[in-house]
Amino acid sequence: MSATVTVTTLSDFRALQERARERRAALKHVVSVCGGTGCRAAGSLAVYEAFQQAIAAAGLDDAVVRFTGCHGFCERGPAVLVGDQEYFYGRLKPEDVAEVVQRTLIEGEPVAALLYRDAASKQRIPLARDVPFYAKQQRLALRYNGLIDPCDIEDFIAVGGYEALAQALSGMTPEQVLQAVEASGLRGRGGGGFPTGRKWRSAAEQPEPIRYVICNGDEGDPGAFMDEGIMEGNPHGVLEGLMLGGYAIGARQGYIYVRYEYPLAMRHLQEAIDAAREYGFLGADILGSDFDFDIEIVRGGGAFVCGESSALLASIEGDAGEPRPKYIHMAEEGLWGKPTVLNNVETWVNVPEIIRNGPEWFKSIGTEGSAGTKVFSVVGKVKHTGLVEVPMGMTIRELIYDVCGGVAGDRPYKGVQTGGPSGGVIPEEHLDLSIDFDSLWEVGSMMGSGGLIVMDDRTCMVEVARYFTEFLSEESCGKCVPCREGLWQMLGLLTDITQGRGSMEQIALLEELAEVLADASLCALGSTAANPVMSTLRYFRDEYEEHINAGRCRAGVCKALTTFAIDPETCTGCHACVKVCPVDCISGQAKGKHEINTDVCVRCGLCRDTCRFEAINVV
Amino acid sequence: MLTITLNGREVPAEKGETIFEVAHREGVYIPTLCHHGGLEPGSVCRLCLVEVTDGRRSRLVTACSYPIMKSGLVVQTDTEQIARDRRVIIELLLARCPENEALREIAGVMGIADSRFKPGKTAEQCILCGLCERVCEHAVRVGGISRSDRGVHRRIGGPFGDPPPGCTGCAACAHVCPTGAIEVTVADRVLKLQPWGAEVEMAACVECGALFAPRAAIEAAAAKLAVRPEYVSVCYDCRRGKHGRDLSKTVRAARP
Repeated sequence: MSATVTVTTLSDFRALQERARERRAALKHVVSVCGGTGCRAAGSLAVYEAFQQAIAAAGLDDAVVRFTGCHGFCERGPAVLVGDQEYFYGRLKPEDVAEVVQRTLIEGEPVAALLYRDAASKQRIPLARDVPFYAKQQRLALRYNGLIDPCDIEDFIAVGGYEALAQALSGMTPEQVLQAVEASGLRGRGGGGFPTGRKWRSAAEQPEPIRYVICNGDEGDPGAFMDEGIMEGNPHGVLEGLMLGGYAIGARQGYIYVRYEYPLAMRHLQEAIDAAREYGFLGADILGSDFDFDIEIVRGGGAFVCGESSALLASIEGDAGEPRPKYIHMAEEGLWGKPTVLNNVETWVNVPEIIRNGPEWFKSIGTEGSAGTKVFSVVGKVKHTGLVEVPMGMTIRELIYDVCGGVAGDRPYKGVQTGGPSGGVIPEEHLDLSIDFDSLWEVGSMMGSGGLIVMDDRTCMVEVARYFTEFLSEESCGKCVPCREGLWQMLGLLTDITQGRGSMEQIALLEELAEVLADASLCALGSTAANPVMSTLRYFRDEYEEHINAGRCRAGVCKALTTFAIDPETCTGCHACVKVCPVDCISGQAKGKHEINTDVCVRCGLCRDTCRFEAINVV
Repeated sequence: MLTITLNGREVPAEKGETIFEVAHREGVYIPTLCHHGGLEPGSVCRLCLVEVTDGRRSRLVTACSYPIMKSGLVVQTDTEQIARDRRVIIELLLARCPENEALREIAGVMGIADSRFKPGKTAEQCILCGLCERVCEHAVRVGGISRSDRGVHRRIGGPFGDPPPGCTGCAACAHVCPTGAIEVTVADRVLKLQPWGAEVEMAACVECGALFAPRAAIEAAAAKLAVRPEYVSVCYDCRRGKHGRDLSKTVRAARP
């Protein structure tokens, strides 16, 4: 990297921008290796190093291997994009790298055997943009993931980074920035969906001159990693959003509260802050304006509840991360009693794009009431797990089947949990529901921060409710009675039902308890905690009743209520189940009739998952 | 002066006053287990739930911490929904502390004989209202006890389960405890506070020799009042009662 420049005026910035663009354009051979946490776990670091060695060996001096933010296609990790056209290679191994460098990077031809194979058409697809997983996405928040080295500020500037800041500081008043955000229709991506502009406005109108902007990066929902992907892949984008927010509402200090379990995100953000200070994007008189601003990272307290706004403030202030009873808005009295704007990572990262392209452009994406895109982390029983960003208004069916390839193993769809443990399950009858803030509320779920857990017919809905209740019971801070004692009792009731001790009175008690939790809890953790129970009772009540009255778990999950049997008609005698059974309880000769000894069977379900003929079922 | 409607009756309220304070003054009973007028509201027990209607929007809030900022609020302290919520909360607490006398009494008043919830593995006396912690930190200003862990494993005590450092034995914690979960005993010139495990030496009255207060508490009081320790070295009876007008020389000499 060339020597550091300090950017003190707008023309300094333009010169830097020009230089960064030229530097980037000079690199003719480009490889982008996913450096997200998921791909790193799948071995992308070794792939990255193999590319560096192969390029050095080939003597290419105009080549670059970027270790970028998460590409999203976690299921195919390590994911790699090669060349300007972006040939897509998934699950790439270090030993295949030399061939990819020679054939694709140098000769410009794909390596057919390593390409993505589309399950539907059985065709090999060379380019990323044609892979169905990427083709239907629209990336705003994830715009630079896969495109830039997140730790290289000049790479960020070359693709348009800090342009929005420069535009705002040189040609817009704070009021104009605020108006642009209001006009864009941006709503909070952390789950609540509150209009961002309105939140900013109420803080900007306070008489108190000391104000704060905070980025909530305490993403804690099970199976959610949208904000992690953004903070790791585009840390400067988050900083730029905060700077614009600070400028708009008149704050001079910003904080990023990062989840304790995200060391990589924290490292990238810290490197980004250091670089931004060095270049002069943070500090006094930014870009020759009279705007002073700085950002500090606060490492989370390691508790789910710290993502709740008042608990987050308590944690930043150095107190235990517990919610506080407050009926005064944070915009009036927030951090240290000062007007504060708290937004989620994804909300902040959208702001520069709104300023750069204008609010009308942003409003044209998505639906009437929910403008823009939304990032989802799609996990569970789905073919392509990963991070996807789609325009609001896409249906759940399109998202799960067209983008993410459908339910794993082509099993029947049963439901999808949106909004994490505070959200609800959306059954098949609502598969064509548009994904936007209001539609999800109407069916008893919520957008949440964007975790989607896909469930198939082998998922027990009572167990799902029990699982989320257990998670929340453990994460309840224990301050208020309904959440602490209520969730604990709720967990007991659900455990009874899943273990065959349930009664119909318990369902009535569950419902009553759920209402009290919603009414009486101190913070949003408790008041939304009963949503999984409420929504599964709403759509899958028959499963609860079957557990209680028939003593049967149709999904074959609750061990006490499951008996597996082999259907002699469908069984081909392939013997595969016999080989996987850990307790040797399946008898039968190859090509003959097989039988399960239910006295010995431990109900692990391995035989059922192994059987390719659907011969093993729950009786 | 603002005006709000409390259970259908127009009543005055100061700006910033809580619903609980106004209701208390107006003689409207709102149950609570975690509130004390001398301390910041905890909003923990959730029994003081009331319904507030502001324009067209109605919601449930805790009376102890909801500040009245404008006229025209309509407050209902006892709807069917509120009564149901309070009943379930008491049932939840009863399941936690099935043997607690104070709780049983409140349940009795509310017409609850038994909890529909299963009792916990250990019968607790403490409902984790946090009054003891708040009084120790904010009123006594010792801060010897604090909460640790979370969820149902939450507990209050000294750091790492040790006796609270700096405890003077003032027993304010026992005084504010709504369930009588904190036990104060004196034996062999030593005051014990349980479950904290605090042990503090008692001081004898210089006049009559009675053990009248923990020594550390007396010293802390003397420091706060900026008087010499002798000023507080005489027991209550000797100062005000039996010996009445004949105030001891010790006290007179130590007057500020």
